[in-house]
Amino acid sequence: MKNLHFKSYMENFLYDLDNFITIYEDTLHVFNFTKLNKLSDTKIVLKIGKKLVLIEGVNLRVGKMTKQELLINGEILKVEFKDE
Amino acid sequence: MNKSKILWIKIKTNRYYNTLIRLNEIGVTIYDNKREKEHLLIKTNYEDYQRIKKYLVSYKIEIYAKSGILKIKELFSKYIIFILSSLLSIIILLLANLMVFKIDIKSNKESIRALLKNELKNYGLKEMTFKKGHHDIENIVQDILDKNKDTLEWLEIKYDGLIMVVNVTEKTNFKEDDKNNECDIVSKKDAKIISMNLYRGVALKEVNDYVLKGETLISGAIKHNEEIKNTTCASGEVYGEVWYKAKVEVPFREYYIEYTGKNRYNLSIKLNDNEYSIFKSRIEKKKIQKIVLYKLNDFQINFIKEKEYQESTRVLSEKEAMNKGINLALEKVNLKLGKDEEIITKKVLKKEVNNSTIYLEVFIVTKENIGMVKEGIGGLEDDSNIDRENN
Repeated sequence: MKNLHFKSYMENFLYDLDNFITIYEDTLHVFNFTKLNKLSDTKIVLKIGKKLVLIEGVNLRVGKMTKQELLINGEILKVEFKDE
Repeated sequence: MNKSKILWIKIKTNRYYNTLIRLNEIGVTIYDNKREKEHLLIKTNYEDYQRIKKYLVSYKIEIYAKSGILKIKELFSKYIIFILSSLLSIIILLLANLMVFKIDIKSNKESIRALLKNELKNYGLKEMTFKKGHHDIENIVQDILDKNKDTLEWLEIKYDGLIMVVNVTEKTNFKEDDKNNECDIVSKKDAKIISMNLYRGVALKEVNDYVLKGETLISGAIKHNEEIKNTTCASGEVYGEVWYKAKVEVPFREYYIEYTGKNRYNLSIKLNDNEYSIFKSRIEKKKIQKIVLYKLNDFQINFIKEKEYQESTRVLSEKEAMNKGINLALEKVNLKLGKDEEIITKKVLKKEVNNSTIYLEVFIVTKENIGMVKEGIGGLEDDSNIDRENN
């Protein structure tokens, strides 16, 4: 008998995006970024596609990181998109 | 994430953030990270660890901790000797528990022991062999009893640890015994008879009769018109009232021990008659309780509980000293009593008190089995010259 994989279908449907940023109370999740340009405990600069993303905060710390995904912990103060 | 090959690696760096960017560039997956003085600790998988070693050649990298299979492998290789010896010990213990190391045949007769040893051997029951199941043992017991109907009355085989205990009752031919043995039951103490169970012979005394030490209670001679017609070995149980006078002295100052509540635990190994403690005992005055954990022939491992106590003194009142004296007297008499024997009554006959000690004379009445087998027939039947002092 075949499994329906209902949860996986729903996830694919909802996250069917090239990239996205999710902000929680003290966590920021970046999906499918292109490059990590700068990293410090107050400022993180990422490249997503042709845009630059500027994240500013206090006590920023990399929680988890893969080639394309990043989880930042800390107090997020500002998220800014810029053209390259 | 492949949890089975996860490890923590330690990278020496002062440029914490740049190193993280560099790790991202070479595609390393980081599950967690910590910053320590001059070091970056990252949790990653084994494949990425290989990648880091390949690309970050100028960094000093070492494995900090392993988890999952890697941790198990590391522990296994580190403690291989301990693990293998433990496993081997467990296997040996399990095997030893399944084996018979000694056969203990409970019989006084060498001929019966030899017979049973030989019979058991025929059924494969000998030392240093595996134990047999309950059902097999039952069949073997029945077979041996059937084969030796004339010799064996009852047989039981059971295991007590590594020892096979064989309990046996030999068949007794009473008729032959009767011919060979002639005996009377005589009184071993001055007493008043309170009950009598006659199995064989002729009762010469009755309940409530006073008897002297040595007097015949049950005779093995069966008479008719004062003529002995037949002889036997008299058998029976005669209980009588026996009287004792116990003298005790009790000092008013009494030493006693009091437990402090401090306990220590230890292990000891006993080999032959020598016992060695594993840990040094730190309690000076202690009472020791011992539990046998493992026993194999003369080798024994014990668990020891040491209870600390301290010695103190107290002054008893006259009543307390008197009660203690009575109890001491009862204990003294009680030690002489066997199964089915008991103290019936007690009375203080005399009491003397001085400054430090109380002296008591206690009269005690007991119920005792006063019958004793005396080889041969025709002893003392009624002799008033016998000394009435029992003890």
